[in-house]
Amino acid sequence: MAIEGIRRLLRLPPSETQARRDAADEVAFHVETRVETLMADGLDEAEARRRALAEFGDVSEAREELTVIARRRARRERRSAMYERAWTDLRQAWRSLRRDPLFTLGVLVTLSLGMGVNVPMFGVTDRLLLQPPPHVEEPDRVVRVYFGYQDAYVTGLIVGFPYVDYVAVRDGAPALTNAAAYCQPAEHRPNAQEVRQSRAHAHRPQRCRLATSGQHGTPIRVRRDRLENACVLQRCHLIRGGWHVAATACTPDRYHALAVREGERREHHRLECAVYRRRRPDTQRERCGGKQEESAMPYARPYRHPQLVQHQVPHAHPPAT
Amino acid sequence: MGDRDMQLLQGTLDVLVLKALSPGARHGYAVARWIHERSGEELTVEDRALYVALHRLEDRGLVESEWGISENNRRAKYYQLTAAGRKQLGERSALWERYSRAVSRVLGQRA
Repeated sequence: MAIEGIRRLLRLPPSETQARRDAADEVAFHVETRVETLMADGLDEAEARRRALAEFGDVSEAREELTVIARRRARRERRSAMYERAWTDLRQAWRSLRRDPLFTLGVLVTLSLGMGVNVPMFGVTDRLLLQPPPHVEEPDRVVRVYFGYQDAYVTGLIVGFPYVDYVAVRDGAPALTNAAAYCQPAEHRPNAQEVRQSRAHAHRPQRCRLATSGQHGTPIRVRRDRLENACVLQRCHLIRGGWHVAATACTPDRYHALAVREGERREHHRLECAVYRRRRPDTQRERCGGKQEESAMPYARPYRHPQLVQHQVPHAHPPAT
Repeated sequence: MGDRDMQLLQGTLDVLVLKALSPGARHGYAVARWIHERSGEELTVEDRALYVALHRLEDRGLVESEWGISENNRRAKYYQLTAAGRKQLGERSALWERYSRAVSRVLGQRA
């Protein structure tokens, strides 16, 4: 009731509920007034009411019909009021802008700058964060493979792993297809300790890269001693003093996928992996009692570095396929 | 009655309602009584049709309404002509008079 009062005060059109109530009240007023008139002419109330209703016709249908008309009018008035307000605002804005040209210029410059900055920023954000990487089919199936390690004191993940572990993943992990690895010795010069460690494990520690196909969708070709047409997706850094890092990379199947998860999509995938157990030279075997695990993390962020990398697979191991 | 007759009556009812409101604001019941009495109790407008006509005229902007208190102390909706309604009444009345005279002339002629 208070709301309707405010509506009347502000000259707003009635709501649909009010329109229905008004229609009912109007019909009731007519019938009651007719009943009173007939009673004044000498009829009893029941007879007067019966006659009044008969004269009126179908009351409920009339109410419905009046409500429909009132509702239509209310909608039209609302729309008309909205246009009128918008037109008034526009006229007022136009007058204000004409009165103060300097302010108008400031507004225009601010708006132009705001839009001009936002458009490229949105483009960059969209490309980097929202869109999947180009030339990669089903990017949500592309995962990067990590190795977990656990000893008596420390538990953690290793961002890269030796070539022999890669071979184990490629051949032994049933949840993955076509695991492959490559490395780029040119960009990393191992220090003495790394060289010593790599010799101890029959391979060289390398800085590794996560790769996808080359530009324009050219498929990666895995050669015996190099990887062709590969664009770097992600750089994997060597863990100094930790497990040796050879390489890990993930691309879709058609590009000689390095690690693509099969089957259902799961955010975090952990499974027993037939990977050679490895331990640091200075760690006793008993302290590495924990099992090594493989966890596959979904890889969806696009990393684009249009850099062609050279691949150097240790000759002691078979080439990646 | 056929549809064509109904259309004719509907058009006529609009003029009658506009005419009933020309002296001033009235509620629906008063409009119905006014038409009945001014026609020498010849015309009885069906109440439902009257209210539909009133709402339709309001929808077209020919009349406007306001709630008030009636003579028997009840809440009633009063209708009154707008400027457009007054203009429409003049046009329709003239048209109706021409039509009526023409029909009368035809009917009054001897074969």
